[in-house]
Amino acid sequence: MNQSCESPRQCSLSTLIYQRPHGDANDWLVSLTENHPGFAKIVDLASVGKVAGFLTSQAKSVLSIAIAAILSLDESNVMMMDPLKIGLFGFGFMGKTHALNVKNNPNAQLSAVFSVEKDRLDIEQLGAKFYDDWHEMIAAEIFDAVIIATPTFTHAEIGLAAINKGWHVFLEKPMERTLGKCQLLNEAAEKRQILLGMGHVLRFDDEYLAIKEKIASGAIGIPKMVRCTRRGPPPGWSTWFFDEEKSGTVILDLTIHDLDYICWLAGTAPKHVTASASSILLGNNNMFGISHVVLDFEASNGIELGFAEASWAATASYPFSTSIEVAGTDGMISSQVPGKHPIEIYSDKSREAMNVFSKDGYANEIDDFIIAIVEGRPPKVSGADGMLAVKVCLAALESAKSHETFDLEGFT
Amino acid sequence: MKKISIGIASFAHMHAYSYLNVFKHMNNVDIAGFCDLDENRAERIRSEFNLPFFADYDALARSDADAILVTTENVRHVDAAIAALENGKDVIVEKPIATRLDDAQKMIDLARENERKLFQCYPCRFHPSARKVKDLIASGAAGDVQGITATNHGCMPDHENPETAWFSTKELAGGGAVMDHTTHAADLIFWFTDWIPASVFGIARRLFHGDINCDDAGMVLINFDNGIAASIDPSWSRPVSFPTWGDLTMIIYGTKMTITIDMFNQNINVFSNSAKKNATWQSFGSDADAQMLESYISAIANDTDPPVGGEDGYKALKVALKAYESSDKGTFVDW
Repeated sequence: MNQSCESPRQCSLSTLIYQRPHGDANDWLVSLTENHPGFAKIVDLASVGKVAGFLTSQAKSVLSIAIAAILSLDESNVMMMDPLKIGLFGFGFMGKTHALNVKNNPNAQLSAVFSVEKDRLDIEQLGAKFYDDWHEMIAAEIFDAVIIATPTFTHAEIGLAAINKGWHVFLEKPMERTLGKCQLLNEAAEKRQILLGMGHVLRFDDEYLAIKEKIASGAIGIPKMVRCTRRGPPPGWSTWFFDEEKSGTVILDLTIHDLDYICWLAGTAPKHVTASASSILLGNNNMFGISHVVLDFEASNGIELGFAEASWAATASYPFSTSIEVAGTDGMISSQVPGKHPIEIYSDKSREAMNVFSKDGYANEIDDFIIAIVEGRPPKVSGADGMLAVKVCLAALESAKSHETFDLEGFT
Repeated sequence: MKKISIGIASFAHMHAYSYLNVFKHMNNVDIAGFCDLDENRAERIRSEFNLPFFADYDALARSDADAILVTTENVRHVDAAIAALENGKDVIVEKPIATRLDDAQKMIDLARENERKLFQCYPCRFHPSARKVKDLIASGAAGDVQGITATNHGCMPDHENPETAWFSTKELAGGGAVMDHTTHAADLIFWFTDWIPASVFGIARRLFHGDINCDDAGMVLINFDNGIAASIDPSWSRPVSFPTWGDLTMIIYGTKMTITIDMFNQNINVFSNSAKKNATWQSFGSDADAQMLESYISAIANDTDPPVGGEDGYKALKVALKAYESSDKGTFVDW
């Protein structure tokens, strides 16, 4: 944690050890501490951040080189890294979540947030500078990276401005409202050697990761068919969702999660996309609020058929719910939320049942983006992935309107 | 009380056994006898249930039965039903009504001409959960229904077992999973709503089993002419180790109520060491078969219209056939 460190540089050391996913960093550190006088006061891994201030500069250098060796990093990254200065655009449902996860990430520092005036106090309490004009924020600040959690249709404009500044960019899903704008973002990022991260959170969620790992273990034979649902009442926290030009309906905003995950499981883009959808009254507009999308990957030695239903049509007391099942030649995996959970909370008015994580998918995706910058590697979900997900959704949107199946390859 | 006498045309479909069991418990029903084109099965049924045997559909139809229960392989429904109707019998036909729309139409027309009743078996309509939902929608309590998502998953009927192999044999079943499992859900959607389809999309695939000549998985989308969409997943995607045979689920998005159905989710969990790590689900839910047959027998006894008739069977079959047509074509087909 930042506040327990004497200088940010020391925090990044502990975090890098802590975040090494597999292996023996702890054992290594214990043997190092036993054999080097500079580490005499370090007794366990968790205390590294707190006591790193005791290290001599020589000891720090030894530690950095050794960490770099086990993590296969360029040692200069480890030694020199100050916490990344992060700018956040948007402080809505997702923006607030990202703000807290940046706050909790020892390698990052939330330095400024763009939002509307009513959020000023909350933002300043986070120790970040408040801006109500994103142009001004970009002109006045210097960031290492930015997180864009504004409404979908504004991602490219802000993202391109950040890329032009040479800042790495994390985009909330969907990447953008149109394929053209996704393309602009990808081209600009490539040209400027900028890392693009995407908020496709299912790829960072323990439930969905466990499913992918179980499939890889061969537990269900060859996976063949995936079925997902994602249902809840309409998103009540903002009205731009209810403008098709801005949000792309329930298809681009909600079922995109499952369509992206299915493509990730399949390891390829679908050949054909077909969809049906019901228009419902959302805000003042009639627009698609329930969608059924079929992804046809055609005959292959893996997933051939994907289906996702998503809805903003549930009544107010219906809890936000998700389900997934993957059927294979030798078994099936299924999971749903709410389902059987480690904690359920009953108040006089409602019941809440939930999965709990020491770190949830939203924290994991921000951590991955930060570590990617530190390590100089692409984030787990790329701009190409983000654009493919948008393409699949736009094809589904067109299919639901025209009652035709689309070949994805030729879809523009 | 006059007893209603039932002739059973074939035990090819395992529902013949469960329906027979229901009939045996009804004190206003007699079994006139049965026929079965499979000699081995005929012999077994004769000795096991001590029922009079008739050589073929015609002989059974000429018996003194009041009505013929048609539980043959799907493609033979039409022959057994026509024989019965031509001989003045009412018909209770297992779903799907037939495997071709012209066959179904022939059955409907003949029933009308001969003033006989044609009952279509859709027991899900008689499950208390479905009746409750029907009431909520019909009374307006659920508001306007804006969309329905349905599943009727199952394990594949055992293809190694000669008694059930025909379900996954195209020439006898008229298709595979899409034929077998689209129609229950389609019938419920038609019953719950008055929607008229405009177009249907379907994918029918063989995904899970190597040794069959029909589809074992699929997806069906229906666009209705009022702009509402629905989907049905009819896949035999449940593995052998699944704790029960399958499911019938729905979510119904009404403007006043969101309603979910998981029709067969009244189960006790059974953990038996004989099954190693697998739990099984043992249902304690209502017997929809019994509710359905009691209603049909009562319609025969009181000479009232079939609660679920030939036209209902025709419409549900049409959804499955349109799904196959769409699957061949690769895009939506008009209704």
